Parts: sequence; C-alpha cells; structure tokens
Amino acid sequence: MISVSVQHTVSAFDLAVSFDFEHGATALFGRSGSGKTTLVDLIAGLKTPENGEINVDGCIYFSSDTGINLPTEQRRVGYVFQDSKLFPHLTVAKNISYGCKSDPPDGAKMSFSEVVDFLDVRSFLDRAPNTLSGGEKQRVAMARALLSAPRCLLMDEPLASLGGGHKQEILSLLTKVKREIGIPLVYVSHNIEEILQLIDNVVVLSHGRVLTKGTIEDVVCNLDKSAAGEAFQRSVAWSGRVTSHDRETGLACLETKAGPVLVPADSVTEQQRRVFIPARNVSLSITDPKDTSILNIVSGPVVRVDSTPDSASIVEVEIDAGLPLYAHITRFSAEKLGIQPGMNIFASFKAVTFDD
Amino acid sequence: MNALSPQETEAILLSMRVAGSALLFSLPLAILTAWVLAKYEFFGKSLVDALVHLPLVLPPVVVGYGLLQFFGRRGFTGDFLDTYFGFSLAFTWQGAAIASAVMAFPLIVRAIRLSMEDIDDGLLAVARTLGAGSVKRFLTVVLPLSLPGVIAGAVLGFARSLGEFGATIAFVSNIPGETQTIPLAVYSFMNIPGGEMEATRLVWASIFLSLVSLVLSEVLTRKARRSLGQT
Repeated sequence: MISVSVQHTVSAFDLAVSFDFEHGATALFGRSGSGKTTLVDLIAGLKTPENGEINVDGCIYFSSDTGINLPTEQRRVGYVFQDSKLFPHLTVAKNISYGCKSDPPDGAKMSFSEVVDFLDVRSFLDRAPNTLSGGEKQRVAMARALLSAPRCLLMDEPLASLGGGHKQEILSLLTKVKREIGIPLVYVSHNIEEILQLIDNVVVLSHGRVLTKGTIEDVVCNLDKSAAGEAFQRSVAWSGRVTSHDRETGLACLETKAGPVLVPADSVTEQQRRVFIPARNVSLSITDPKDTSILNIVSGPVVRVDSTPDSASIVEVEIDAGLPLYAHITRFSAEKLGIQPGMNIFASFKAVTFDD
Repeated sequence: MNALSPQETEAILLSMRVAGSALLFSLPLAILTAWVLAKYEFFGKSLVDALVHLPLVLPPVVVGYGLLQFFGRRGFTGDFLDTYFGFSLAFTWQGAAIASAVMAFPLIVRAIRLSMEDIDDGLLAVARTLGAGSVKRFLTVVLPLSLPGVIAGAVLGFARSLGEFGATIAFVSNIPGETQTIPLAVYSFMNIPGGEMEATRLVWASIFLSLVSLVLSEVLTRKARRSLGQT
C-alpha cells in the first residue's frame, strides 16, 4: 500500500499531489518538469514537503499533522536512479552489500546470494563499476536496492540511459521483482508504452498537479484529449485472460471483454496479460474484412467522430467494441466510408504486447 | 659537500618534526572544514570562508604576532594554559608547529574542498537511502572519494610548513635546537660572516625535502585516482 498526499513549493514551482494505491506498481508519468522526480524525492525523504502525509505499508514516512519526518536513512526505500549511481571506489560486491544490515529487519526476504542470482550479477562481482555496461550497472543498482530490505522500490527512469535490448532485460527483471517481492513500486517514466506490462496504476502529472490517476486500464481509456496530448498518443489498454498459447505460430490468445485478441508471445508465464492498442494502429472498414493479414478484428457501433488536435487531416473515431477503442484515420477515408455515429463498423488492429 | 654540522642537522630534523606535527594537527580539522564549506549552506558561511583563508593573505608576521598575543604568557589562553597546566607554547617547538599549522591550513582546506565539491550528491543520496547515517556516509563515501585531494592537501601543507618563516619567528623566535627550523637557520647563517656554506647546504636540503614530498604526493595521488577508477 502506498499513500501520498503532499504539498511542496520550491520558488516558482508548486507541487500538490495526492494518490493512494492498495497494490502493485505505480507509474508517475508526465513531461520533464511535471514534478515526477521531485515527488519521488519527497517519498525518499531527500526533499521535505510543507504539508501532507506519506504512508508506505503502514509506515508513516512523513506527516505534517503529527510532526513525523522520518530521515531518509530510516525509511528503507530502494531508490534506483537513472544513471545507477554506483559507488566508483567499491567493487560490485561491495556496492551490493553497502546497505545490507548485520541484523536484517523484518521483511528482509533475500540474502546476498539470492539477490545476486536473482539479478544475475554473479559473474562480475569483483569488477569495478566503471567497467560495466549500462544494463549491468542498472542490475547492480537494483541488487543493491533489493538487499537493503526496502519497504518500497523507487525507480527514476531506470531505462533512460539504456539501449533497446537492455531495456527489455531490465523490464523483465523488474516484473519478476514486482511479482516475487511484493512491495510497492513507484516508477517514474515519460514513456508509458515501454512499461505497460510492468505497471498497475498510473498517476499522470502536469505542472505539479495530478492530471489523472487510476488503474492503467482506466487511465489509458479515459484520458480526455488534453490529457492525452500531454501524456501519450491516444491508445487503449485491454487486459485479458490467456486462454491458449500456440508455440508453433508464436501467438497467444487473450479473452477480453471485446472478444478474443491474438498477440505475439514467445512464452506466456502469466495468466493475465495486457495489450496496448495505439489509435494509429487501428484501421476501419464497413464490411467484415475476411481476407486480411491483420489478425484482430472487432466490431461495434461508432460512438463519435472527432477532429484530432494534432492534425487537420486526421480524425478520431471512437468505437464501442465491448471495450472502448479509438482509431485515427484520415478525414478523406472517413468521408469516403461515410462514418457516422451509430453505424456498425469493423476495426482491425495490431496489438502491441510485452513479453516477460 | 662537507658533512652537515650539528646545528644544521638539528634544523633539518626540527623542521621535519614541526611540519609533521603541524600536519597531524591541522589535517583532521581541515578535512572537516573542507567538507562543511563544500557541501553545506549556513548563515555566516562567507565569514567562515574568509576567516579560514585569512592566513593566506595576511603578512605571516602579523599571524605570528597574533598567536603571540593569544598564546603568549600574557595572552588569555596562554595565561590559562600556564596557570592550570604549567604549559606554554611561546618559544617552544610546539608553538612553531602551531604557527605552521595555522599558515598551512587554508592551503590544505582548498585542495581538499576542491575534490569534495566534485563528489556527486547522488552518491550521497543513494547512501542515505541505503541506511547510511552522516558518519557512515562521511567515512565510506566522502573520505575515499576525496582521497586524492586529501593527499594533495597534506603534501602542500607539509611543504608550506617546511618553508614557514614569518609567523614562526614572530611567535616563537629563533632558538637553535628548539624553534630554529631550516628557513630560520638559513636566515641566521646569512647574517653570520662566513656562514654562506652552511646556508647553501641548508638550501639544498630544503629543495631536496620539497622535491621528495612533491614526487611522493604525485605517486600517492595517482594511486588513489586509480583505485577510484578515474584514470
């Protein structure tokens, strides 16, 4: 459980944010300067808010009402920074064990050896941090944070300095960490597609205020236009139960409220999966498109047709396919097909998913 | 070159002892001062900064006179030490060490402060999140990372103490065997007719000592940098 309600002013910047989530990983999401990192620093105690309360799993970090302000060193937060921040004068092994207590407090679930194997850093324990690659550094930083028996994990864009392959590797590890350790995880990001599979809750920040918050499905589907422009391209996220997985074709079938959705998957380890459907990936047709390479076709009535803020030649069509779905198509196509609210339409799309 | 006379040997050994003691005395204080000046903001910081640097810009003889006023038998502190501990710094080699320490202090602080300012605040923040209190952070992060600066500052301070003249002569006078360090001995020999030979030998000794400490500092600094992965 993580509950944050703070007010913090630094010269011209004013942050007033509150959210609380019972379970899972929370993404703090917004443009640079929206206050994401400041918020994480407030949770870690590196900055002190003027007012409010911060509570992680029943441990009060800060409360202006009762005058509690736990110093950072007693909060037990596992903070992973964008650029690892490994101690350059210590070996990897000594970096990892820096925060390890001689008498592990309650909740210290993992030993040095377990953490090392979990994050697969055993092969370079004796090396100096400056000889590691970006991905290796982040793994060491995560191992160091985990071994300090944290009450929560704070991640400030840990993928920002990594290449594509390493990103996937770190994300898979994070998903594993989330599943096995089960402590609240706060993840700062400006790219939500990247971390879709990891997170459960989203707080979208803009200029120090909460633009919208909730579960990832709710937030992605219910963003109004301005928030969408602020946050991400119009998209929806559907979650579904994995009903089958065909190794031959490499496809998994998800049962969603809008019907079955096929997603590419090399391996399926979880029962629940989430698919992400950007509006630009959706195409529309009046009749059921039978002979097409696109795997996923759903149908439903058009709810509305609107112009998009970005471009005059693109319109946005909202379809009720059991779950909301948005399509961005050209104005020319919309007029040619005569798309009107109320008419039934077939939408075909490529779903984006993330493998563990 | 002839063997050194007893007075010259004495001056060289005394210089080493004075400079060494001055360093032992001022280094821990300089490390703390450098840390406070490098990373903390507080009311009156510029004043503290100015006070630390004062010996660097004041005429050394003024510092020596000040020390004499403060620690001399008629000074407040000197009177206190004399009455209750039967101990006086004026006209003793310990006094010479104090004079050297005061004069070298700003140089040591500057060198250490520069390397401490370079320490990434993020590393200290990480250490805090990992449960390290201020003492542990200082000992395990700040000190190791500023080691090259500490070595450079120590050597600079040692060399500066070897050369200390004005404050020493004003505070503890020029007493052979007690307060007559190399520069003071050179000064004395220069004022004795026929003392050029002795003066020259001491000058060479002085150059030799300074060179050895500079080379030593270079070697140690490089070693420390390597251990930090900076090269």
